[in-house]
Amino acid sequence: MATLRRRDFLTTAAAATILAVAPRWVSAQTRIKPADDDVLAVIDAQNCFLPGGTLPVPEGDKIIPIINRLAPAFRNVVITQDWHTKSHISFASSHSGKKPFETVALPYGTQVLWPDHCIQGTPDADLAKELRIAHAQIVIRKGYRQHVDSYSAFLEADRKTMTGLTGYLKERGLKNVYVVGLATDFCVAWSALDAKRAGFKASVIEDATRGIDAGGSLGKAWADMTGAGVGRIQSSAIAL
Amino acid sequence: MASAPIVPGERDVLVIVDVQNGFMPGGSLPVPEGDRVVPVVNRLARAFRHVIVTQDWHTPGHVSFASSHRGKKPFDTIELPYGPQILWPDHCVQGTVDADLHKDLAVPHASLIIRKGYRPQVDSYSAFLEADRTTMTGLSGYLRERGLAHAYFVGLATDFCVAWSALDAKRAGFQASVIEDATRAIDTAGSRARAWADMTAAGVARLTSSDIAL
Repeated sequence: MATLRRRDFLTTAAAATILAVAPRWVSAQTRIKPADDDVLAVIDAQNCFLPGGTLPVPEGDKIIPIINRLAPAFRNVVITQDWHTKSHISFASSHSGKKPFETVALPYGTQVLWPDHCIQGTPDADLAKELRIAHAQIVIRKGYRQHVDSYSAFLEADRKTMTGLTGYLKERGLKNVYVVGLATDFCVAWSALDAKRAGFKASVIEDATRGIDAGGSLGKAWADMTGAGVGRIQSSAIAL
Repeated sequence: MASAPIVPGERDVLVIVDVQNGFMPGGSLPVPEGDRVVPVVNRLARAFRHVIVTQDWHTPGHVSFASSHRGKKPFDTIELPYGPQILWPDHCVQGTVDADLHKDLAVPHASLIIRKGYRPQVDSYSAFLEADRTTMTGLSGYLRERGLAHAYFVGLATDFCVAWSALDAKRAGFQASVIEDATRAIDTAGSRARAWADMTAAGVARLTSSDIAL
């Protein structure tokens, strides 16, 4: 800069000003600095979905340190918990002759059946003990109705019953939802898609998620999310 | 009560306010007999399909702490941009054992844990509206979206977080009731009687746990 003549310096300064008001152009190079209307949604970072849990997601534990690193960059954080009753309708054990990962037809559509998991008040349903997000503002539970599953943090599997999360976020003026957690192809994807449908901007931070990938579900989830305009970013895109 | 007991239904929600170690005997801001509410709340909760839980959730050095203001003591009052603020001992700091829910609170079917008072410069007795009286917590939006219309309040303390929450629920358009024997008060400078007078005048119902069908 010291070698620039004054005229060149002014030209450079003007260009810098233009850059400052042109975030779209700059966004490829500039990291996202979470603002007051951004919220980190930590989906189902629970023991049941970690190795050793009842419905382990491969490498599910790998995302916990990434989430812990991301969370302090966000002033606003919400946490979800999958929170089933005993003998929940989504459990294979509740349907005679059925095994986990088979499907059944329920009044609201096709339901994948799972091992018994994340039962209310059990250690299996607790948040991962390494998760460190003291500033989280709510812990919202889902799937607590005996006869209705809910992958989505916004809308239950009957596609009618709202969880209350939309109303909560809107009342607080939160507009952009950054989704992390487990599992990419189920609760993360359904939550991100429903966030978008509810009028929020939604992005998934991919390296802070892991998928179950049953029958090609991971590829399909990403195709659906991309098709719906959900952002696909990496944790390196967030300014920490 | 002569009338038939209340059978909580689909539009009723039990709101358990701040049943945290910080407000128990031995906590940092103990409410006399605060621990006595726990078994009553546990018994009531089983009658409600819908239950939510609040937590007072302060940053270290929070503006409501006497220790954040030179020369001030707990229970002194100061003037803040949003009005008078009672100063408290440091209490319910985010992520500490003091801020944890009481270990005997048994409400596994609670559908939401909502925290309040997490902004360093703004207190929030109310679960609905912070002390600046402009920042909403999100709870009205949550309850409304779920079709919940009548909030039954229990917890600590009657004359602060319970009363402010019940009054704000009413203002937000919900029906509000306080189940008195499932609450306890701090009662500083007549605050308990004033809280009940305010609640009664605002149309908040004053119930006891025997009014609820268990």
